[in-house]
Amino acid sequence: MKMPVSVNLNGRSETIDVEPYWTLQRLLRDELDMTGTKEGCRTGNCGVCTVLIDGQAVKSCLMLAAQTDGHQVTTIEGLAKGDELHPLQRAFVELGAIQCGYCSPGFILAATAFLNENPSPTRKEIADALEGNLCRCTGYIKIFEAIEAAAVELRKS
Amino acid sequence: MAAPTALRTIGQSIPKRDAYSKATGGAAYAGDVRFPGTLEAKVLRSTHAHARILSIDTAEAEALPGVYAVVTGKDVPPTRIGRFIRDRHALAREKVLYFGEPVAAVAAVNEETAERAIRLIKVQYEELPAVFDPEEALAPGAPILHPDLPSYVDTGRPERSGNMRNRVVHEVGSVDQAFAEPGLIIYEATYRTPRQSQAFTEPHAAIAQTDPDGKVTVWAATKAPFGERQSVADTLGLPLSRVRLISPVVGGDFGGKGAAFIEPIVALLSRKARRPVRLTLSRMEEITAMTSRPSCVIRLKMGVRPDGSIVALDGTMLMNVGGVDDTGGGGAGAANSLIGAYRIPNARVVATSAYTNSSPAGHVRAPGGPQTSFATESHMDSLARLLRRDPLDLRLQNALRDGDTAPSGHGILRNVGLQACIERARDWMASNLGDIGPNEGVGVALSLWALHPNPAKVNSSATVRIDMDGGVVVLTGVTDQGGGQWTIVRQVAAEVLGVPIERVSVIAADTEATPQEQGTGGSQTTYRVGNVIRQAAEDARRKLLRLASERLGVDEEELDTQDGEVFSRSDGSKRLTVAEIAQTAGGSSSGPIIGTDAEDREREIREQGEERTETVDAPSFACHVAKLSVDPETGLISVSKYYTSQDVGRALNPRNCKGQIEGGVVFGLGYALSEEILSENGTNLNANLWEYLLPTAPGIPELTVELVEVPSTFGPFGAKGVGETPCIPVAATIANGVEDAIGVRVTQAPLTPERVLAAIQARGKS
Repeated sequence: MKMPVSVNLNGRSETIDVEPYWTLQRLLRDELDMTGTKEGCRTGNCGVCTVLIDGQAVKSCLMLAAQTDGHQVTTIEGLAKGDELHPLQRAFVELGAIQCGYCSPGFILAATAFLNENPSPTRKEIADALEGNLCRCTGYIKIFEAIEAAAVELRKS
Repeated sequence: MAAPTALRTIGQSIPKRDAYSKATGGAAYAGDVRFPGTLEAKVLRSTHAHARILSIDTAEAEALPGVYAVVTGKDVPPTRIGRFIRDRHALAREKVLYFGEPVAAVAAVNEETAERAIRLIKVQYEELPAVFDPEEALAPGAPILHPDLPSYVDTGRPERSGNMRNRVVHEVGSVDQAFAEPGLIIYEATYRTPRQSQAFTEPHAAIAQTDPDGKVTVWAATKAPFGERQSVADTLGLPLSRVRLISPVVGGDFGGKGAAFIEPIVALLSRKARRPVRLTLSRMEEITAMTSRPSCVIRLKMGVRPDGSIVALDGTMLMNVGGVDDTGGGGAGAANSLIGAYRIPNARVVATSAYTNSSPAGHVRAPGGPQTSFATESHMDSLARLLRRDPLDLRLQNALRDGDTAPSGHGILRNVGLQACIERARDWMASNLGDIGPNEGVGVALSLWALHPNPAKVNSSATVRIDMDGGVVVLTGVTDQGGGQWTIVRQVAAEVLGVPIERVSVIAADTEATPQEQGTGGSQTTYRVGNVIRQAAEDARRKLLRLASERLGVDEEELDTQDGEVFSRSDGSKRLTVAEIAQTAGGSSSGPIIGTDAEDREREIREQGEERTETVDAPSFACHVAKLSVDPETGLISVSKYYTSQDVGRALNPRNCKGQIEGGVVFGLGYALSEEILSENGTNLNANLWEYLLPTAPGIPELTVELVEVPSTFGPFGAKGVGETPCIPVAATIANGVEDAIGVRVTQAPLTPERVLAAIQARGKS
């Protein structure tokens, strides 16, 4: 039986009826058609489904939709301000951190949460923070470079 | 060819346009395509490695509320499908040949119902004797997987019989005689390499829609929509024109997405259910039942003179291609890459691939490359050790040079950048390696790819259209699975036409809207498709200039294009925008400006005074260096620095080009250190991402990529292929570094801590 969940989704307060067994990933992708949150393993290992819950990076395949009640959920669709990309998004695009792009939403959101906590990270701190996100295309190098560039940008603002 | 005066976009690191939608979550991959009323599919898979199907009872599943369609092998015609050899059916008909082979499929209102329905299907099997080891599979008395193998349709005509899928014998010179030379130092060893998963982050996904009149459209995560259309059409018994395949953005391919394993199934379901049907595979299905790089055993013998010149090589390769094969023969065609980047006058390689009841083998980045390189480049280091020579020195002494015959015996090598790569690597080593501590070491290895004459037929074409507003649209069948193919297409068209890159867009990879294309792969897209785009853009440019010439009263030869304008070189006041010309074109006798790739490649090459079949104009070489340490207590390898110099011909987009190489190196690091599909009686044991270990961010070494540019003769603007070369020699580079660090030779990849430790302990005992 469905249950109502009150959630702030990308800045909008909404009440959504969810089945108790739905994961947040399923709610986003299959019920709300918000497909920027990807699906890669459903076991919490690849990180392509990463979203922010109250600013913390969470793998949406490991969280039930019902658990978001009373929380703020930010997906990749909610990161840009209108047409203005988030500095991380811009850096990923401009610095070649996106090849196939399937892991990109997850990386960008995981990095958003990380830079909030550590605005001036070393390369090693970035790498350690991203252990839970897999990328098969880039070898991670351009992702590191993009996060470093975005960190500089974010510190200015 | 019309060479523009100064290059505007070629050589610029233009960001990928599709990256914007990927960064914001707007890019629709196949699994993101949505239609109202879409059903969810699930596949029932074989629970045996080899068995006869006695009966399938679907009655209960069909009766379950919410189930719209159930399909089995009975819905599939006897015609076999496959990308290279046609050796399978979309759903097993009489026998299953591997654990996880699709047996039935269901479409239902939601995933839960489909899952429940799958469990209600009753399959009766009669188990058959199974064989998992390729050597046993080839022995007399082994159970035969494909009794009708000789009658299968295959793209090549290899030697095949029994369970032998393919055998290639490659021989140059007089090998036995050469090994008999007095004083020759002979070294022999056996190398083993693992099965590797492509492990793209996006699993296979497809959605099919059937029109009321029976036409089927499939949106699929594939790099070869035209080839897959054939498999879908054959499975459904439809003419090609009644099937449409569309490849949207693809979330990584690495060789694995183009074989039509799931597309025919969703198409069958959607036809039966009369609703759109979609399927996304689980990671377990990906690693259990989809293709992987075939495991390989290589026995290698080389003979070298005391002065360091290698005179003889004798090698055998045996590959396990599983129950059905999507490799084109296990990579046996790449047998001559076992000869490496060296001039060896007497060489013999016998490469065999065998069917077994293991999961299917397929293409994985640089098919055949990492296996052969692990053997040859490990062997080169062992020879250097025997001769007390510097390993890079010995390689340089024997390295292929410009003008040499390719190791395959076909074609003359041109534009060889190998020596330049080695020199750059040496320079880097001299100033960047730093002190080498205890248990630390340095490994080197060379890489090679594409040492063959490029084909006459490119199996690709393109259309370049100039719109009324001066915008340019390129129609191409090529997919972009992340390599930046569509960006290269735009850059080449923009450059040839002299329009700003922002004005060029691409319509791609749709069998109904775009011209034929064989599929992205083999590091050949920039070279092959790039040329086709160049030709089509040149054709459009000719038409543009002809119209401009009429309007301006200036000879065509006098005209040039730049920044979206056509102008007279001698009188700058005579100019028109591309838009102004395009607007009048529609009403002119020549019609709208549409360029096609009309040029015959064979003729283009002959005009340059060369013969295509004799010219290896875009050979790809690289030199790799790793600095690493080995923990002698645990066997764990830590790579601190990694370097590669690679000849890319010309970097059309340097940042994307480097990105390909970085990604390739790390792909190779996975193969070198941790990636291996483990299997027991045909069941893959680590079919998930917590036991199949991919490289992660914390393990990435400091990585330096240097681009060497020795232009190809016939690639667009001198480009060569890039993507495969960097993943090939990494395992050997690491193994060579390990021996340098702790003095033990590990001959089996990946070099897991267990294997390194076992090698250390084995040395202790001897």
